[in-house]
Amino acid sequence: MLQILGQVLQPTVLIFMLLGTVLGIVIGALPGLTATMAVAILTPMTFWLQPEAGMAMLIAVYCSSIFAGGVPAILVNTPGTPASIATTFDGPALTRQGKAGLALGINAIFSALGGIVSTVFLLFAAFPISKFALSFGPPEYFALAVFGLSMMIAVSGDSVIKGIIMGGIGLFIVTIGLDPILSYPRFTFGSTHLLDGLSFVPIMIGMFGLGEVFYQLLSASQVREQVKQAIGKILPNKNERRRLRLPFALSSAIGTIIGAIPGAGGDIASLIAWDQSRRISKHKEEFGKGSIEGLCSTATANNAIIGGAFTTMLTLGLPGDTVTAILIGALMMYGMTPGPNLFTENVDFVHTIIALLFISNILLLIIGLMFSNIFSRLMRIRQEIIWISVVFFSLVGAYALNNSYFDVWVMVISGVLGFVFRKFGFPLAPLVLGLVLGSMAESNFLRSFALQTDGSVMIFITRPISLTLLLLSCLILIWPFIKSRYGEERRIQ
Amino acid sequence: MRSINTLFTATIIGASVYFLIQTFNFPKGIGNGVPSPSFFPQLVLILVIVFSLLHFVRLFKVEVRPLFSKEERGKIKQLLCFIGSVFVFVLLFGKVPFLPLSVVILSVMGIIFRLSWTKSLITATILSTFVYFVFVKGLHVVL
Repeated sequence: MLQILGQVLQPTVLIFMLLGTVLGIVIGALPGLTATMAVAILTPMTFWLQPEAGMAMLIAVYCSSIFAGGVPAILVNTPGTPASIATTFDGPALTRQGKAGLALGINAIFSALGGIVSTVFLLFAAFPISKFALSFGPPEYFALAVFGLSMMIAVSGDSVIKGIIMGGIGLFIVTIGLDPILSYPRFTFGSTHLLDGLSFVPIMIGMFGLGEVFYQLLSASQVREQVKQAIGKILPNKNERRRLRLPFALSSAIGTIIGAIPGAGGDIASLIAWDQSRRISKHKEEFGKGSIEGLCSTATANNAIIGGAFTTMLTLGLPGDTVTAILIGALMMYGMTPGPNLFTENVDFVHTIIALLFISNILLLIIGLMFSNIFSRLMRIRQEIIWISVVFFSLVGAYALNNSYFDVWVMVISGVLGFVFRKFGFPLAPLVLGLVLGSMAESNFLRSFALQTDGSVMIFITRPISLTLLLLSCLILIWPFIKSRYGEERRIQ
Repeated sequence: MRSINTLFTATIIGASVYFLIQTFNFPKGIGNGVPSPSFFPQLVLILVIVFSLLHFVRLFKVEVRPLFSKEERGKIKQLLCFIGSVFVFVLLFGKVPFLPLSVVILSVMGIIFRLSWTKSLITATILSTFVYFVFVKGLHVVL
């Protein structure tokens, strides 16, 4: 324990964590810049750091940008990140009532507390899950990959068909390069660059950095609105704190559970948490008109997803959301593969990650409360300057990963394709999941056949865990079609 | 706008069919029932083709929204110029010294965004110098 604390309290680790927190707050507070984009463009920089320092920076960026996304949502009714959409239900109304300070205070306190509760869940759940997952063989891993893919497709937005197409494209990209059994070059067209396949991180930087800028350039409008009046008190009083206990407890649980589901991010968690908190509240009529309970529920759920997403990522190697998908790439860059083996081969690093999550949430609480009144000034930065900076960091970052111009081309082409796909309404999240889980699915599928002599698919059916996971995947895949067919689809307005 | 959507979906189908044909040149498996290197790509590409066809058919049944709104149409030229400047940067990256290249291209990007040339130049110089010191001096990346 002391050894872990010694590692995470090193001056370099703390400095990079502080830097990550500040960067995350700046990026999160700027409408349109997402946590995914922030983590994607900063990942190449951390490659040159110690894994502890690099991970500290990325975790801090993740936690603080999700929290800071609520700041413009509260002050100018514009969510900084998709996870803060539900914050606009009550945040701006509180600002109009002259309670901007209280709203910012609640956002900071409950974002941090939500993050801490979910990290406690990670601490207690991760080790038993990883122990259980250690008994998995290739058929179970294949079924797990299929399960992860099906979850992402089920939450891929308006069109399940488009989600499946994107998931398939992601899986196809993974097949480029040498095949896992015979090492036969596939789709390389004689290029030596393609023998090792396409690197995951440049694709992610392209899709979520460059592509996002292209998309925003076309669709975003400059946020000019400023908060002129004083923001008022920041800390909730005793009576208000009492009112916030129940929505906090409920939203922490909802956020953590939804975070653990592959593909379900903070936007879904905060919408569900807000709706459920409204149902149990004694002040239902205030929801949507400036309810502190409503704001507390969205702020809590937003950051509570992080611990849940880390649990799935670290124990099973499944990304809880797009940020954890990039963090899987970052961990691989450091020479570690997320999954149950991480808990036997690099258990100290798992403890370090958990400690970093605790410290990062405490840091965001301190900074969030201390500097709440100056956040509104961040929105004065011109979007054009941010776009140029993001593009420049994306270009240099993609190159710096392997000193490879080929990776820069991969990043730029991914950026253009990412923009085109988004414009045509194809969700990027299933593609990311395909990229992350593709090799896990293929190699374990082939290894499962190599385990037996008759080449039968029965191996997936005769083993209870793989059978359960495959049946669940089938159910998740067909569920949207059943729902739409019988007109039972309910959307949270 | 339906035509551009159908063209896009047709491109996905066409590319998938092309790659699927490529898989027939892959060698057979190692025996013992282990699938060949072509098995997984074929499975994935067939999945993409089938669902793209479903999407293609669906395009004719549902109302398709315009790809670009009126406001967005006014920005297409700016976007194309911006993408062009990114491609020029990548083409010259490694062939021209990093600092002058980045200062020039980033200034051009600023002008594309209708920033004043002084603001563009200042932004470009600050960003280029910052990145140079962080990556070249700090992280020892050869730019």
